[in-house]
Amino acid sequence: MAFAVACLLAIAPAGRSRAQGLDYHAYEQLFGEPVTASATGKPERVSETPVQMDVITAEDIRRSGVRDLPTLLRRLGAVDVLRGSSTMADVGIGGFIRSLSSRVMVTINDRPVYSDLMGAVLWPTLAVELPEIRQIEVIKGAQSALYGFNAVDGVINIVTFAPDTDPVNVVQARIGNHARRDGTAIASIGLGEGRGIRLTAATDHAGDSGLVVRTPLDAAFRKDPNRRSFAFDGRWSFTDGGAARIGASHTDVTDRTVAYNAYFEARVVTDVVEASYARDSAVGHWSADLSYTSMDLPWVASEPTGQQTNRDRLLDIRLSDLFKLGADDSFRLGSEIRHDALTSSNLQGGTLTGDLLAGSVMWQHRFSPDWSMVNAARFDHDALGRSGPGGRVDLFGNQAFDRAVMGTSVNSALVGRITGEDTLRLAFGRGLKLPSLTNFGLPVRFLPRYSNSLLSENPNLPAASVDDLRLAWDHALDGGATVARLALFHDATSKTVGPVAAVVAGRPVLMTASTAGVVTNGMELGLLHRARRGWTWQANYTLDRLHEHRDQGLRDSLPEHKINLEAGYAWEDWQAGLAAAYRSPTRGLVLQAGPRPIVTVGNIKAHSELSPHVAWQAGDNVRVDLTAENLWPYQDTLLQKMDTRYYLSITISY
Amino acid sequence: MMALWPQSGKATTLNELKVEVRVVDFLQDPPRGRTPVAIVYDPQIRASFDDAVAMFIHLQDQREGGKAQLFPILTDVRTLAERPDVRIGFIAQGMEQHYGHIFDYARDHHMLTISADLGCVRKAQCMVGVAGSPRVEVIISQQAASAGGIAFTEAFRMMVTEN
Repeated sequence: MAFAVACLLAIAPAGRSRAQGLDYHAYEQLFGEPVTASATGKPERVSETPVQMDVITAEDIRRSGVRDLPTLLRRLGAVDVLRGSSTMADVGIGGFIRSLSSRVMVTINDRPVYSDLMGAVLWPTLAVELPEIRQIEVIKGAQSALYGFNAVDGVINIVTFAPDTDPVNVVQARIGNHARRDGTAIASIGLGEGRGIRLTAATDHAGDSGLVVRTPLDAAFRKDPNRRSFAFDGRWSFTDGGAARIGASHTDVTDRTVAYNAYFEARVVTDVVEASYARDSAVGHWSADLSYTSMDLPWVASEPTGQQTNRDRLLDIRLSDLFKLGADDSFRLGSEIRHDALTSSNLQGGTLTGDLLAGSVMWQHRFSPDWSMVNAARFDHDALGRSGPGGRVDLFGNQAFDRAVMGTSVNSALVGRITGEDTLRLAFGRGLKLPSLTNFGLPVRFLPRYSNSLLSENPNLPAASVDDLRLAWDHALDGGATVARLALFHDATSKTVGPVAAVVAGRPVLMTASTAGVVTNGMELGLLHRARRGWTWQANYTLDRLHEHRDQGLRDSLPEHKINLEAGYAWEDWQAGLAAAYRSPTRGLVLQAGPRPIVTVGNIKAHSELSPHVAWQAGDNVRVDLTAENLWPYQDTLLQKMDTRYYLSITISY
Repeated sequence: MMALWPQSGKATTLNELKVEVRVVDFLQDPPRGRTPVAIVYDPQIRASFDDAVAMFIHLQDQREGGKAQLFPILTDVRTLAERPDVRIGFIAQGMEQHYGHIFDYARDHHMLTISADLGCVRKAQCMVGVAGSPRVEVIISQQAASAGGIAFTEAFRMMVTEN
């Protein structure tokens, strides 16, 4: 297919005008700083965004020596990462985080990769490799007025290099302890001015490690973490000034994680086809994006619940128009149509569907060159449906699913440059959190030795709102090379989803239900210094105070104090870096071994982490990286011990 | 910020010249290939002459990295009419007394005018004004640009200041 598209691109007429999509490279060159379209949907300089945003650049990634995105993200202030295995992770922003319950919207080139099936982001299934990433934009706070439901704690937008203007040609091999064997090959092919494609293939393998307790049953289905990925990305511009992007990807991942206090092992096969088109017109800059995602879980195994299979199909269509009225007012109108269909062995082949319609509007007003304001609102309407026989023990008939959940999100922010060095941001967001399809309609039956009880679906779950208030002050030092930040945030979630004991039709069951909410109050202090040569460093401290109104077993389990320190030095052909972290004590899951292992909540000790890295640029095209992660192993709040890991990577650019 | 011509009191900096070159790429119908650009100056004004020569030398080197290959032509403001093929003009510093004439010519001949003198764009006599320090600023005079039939991409308009 890639070859066919390449041929198509080659014969397409060359565009006289440059691509109308956001040309990150050109704007970065013009303004001398990163640019983004993630904050408001409107292109802007990162220093002018009304939201609190961190940008991880390609250079930051290269100098970090890390091999996966969650490890990289964890070094930012107010970002939490839960590890379900050595490779599987959940990423949260601003406090409340639960396994397989994402409150952060992750996008790749603005395409959401959120899985409606589980309500989670499965990071290893993302078909993106570190060398092809231009920048990662991390937006803190509720953003669902722009990004849609479930962007309630923030957004992580991964921007890859454009295949037509920023070719990436890399071969990378990595070996390490725990049988780590990774390989990546990326090739970019220019097809004339304004046209290009990129092909990426990757394979990652490691021996499973860090499992706290092993049981005979678990050993029966446990597999080593394994990942294969292939991706195609093509972009070209047309003579009418428009620009199109077509992508396709396939990932096949075997991994495990912890959810509902139990290990889950699964194979996840994800296929994505996407296309987008954007151009300037008399009515502004409009864009259309279409993506189709197929996520197959041919097997999911868990010791308490046995095996199941799931298939999820998602069609997502987004339209937007961005225009400016007068000199000071910009608007963005958007709409989204989303159809999701989940088929599961737990539904005996039945299908659960969600049909979402959403409309949004954004208005940005510039009071002066230094002060601007942005307001946005979005309305989501999600209609549920179910067909087929339903669960084996079905508490709800199909007609119970003929209902819709809906809600409105809003964002409002003010940003001002109060001096040449100081920027102040005040933002309020009301995010919309919708339950996942699993929450709505996927019953789970525990095996006889684990109580034989039923965790029932619940089609009557309501939407929840998340109110987020943030005040951030950035102060530039050394002419902007160093930025100091103080941010205060308050985040209140009206309801969460969790299991509660209930009686339905005279039968006692565990039911997925809407329960009391959570509140997080926090503060982030940060210092960041970037330079191409010499020293780079960053330090951040986050105070997170979480209060869950109801104890679901892990009440208030969050390290209250988090410190990240990172320093690097580059000289001649060498780079060296050291990343350190501290997490204060908290509570987490503890597993007691036995014929039927019992999971309880216990204390997780404070821990410190140390991860050194050294790199040698051996000539123009060869780079050698030696990285150690977690020199002092620690246990996460989940049932995962993070062992010491060593990697040796060789990267050849051509 | 390094001035191109340190001897003159007011000069276009190298950073500002780079910004001027890159702004050209964001025209709605940007030039491609070898494209003439007039460096407009007045030989009777020393500051403008010095600035224009320095800009000319740097643009000749083609180091500033726009998508079109700009080749500079030193153009006496009184002989603008002799260059009807030129659609882009970089205005040297010290040209205040000629702003009216430059605007009239640019409007009638659809020539994009860019200056590092922000006063020119604020008076709506130049279409684009740029500043390189302490941070890069690009200001577009919608009034002047519209009069000359010059339009920029929507994304670019979102990222700059419009008067």
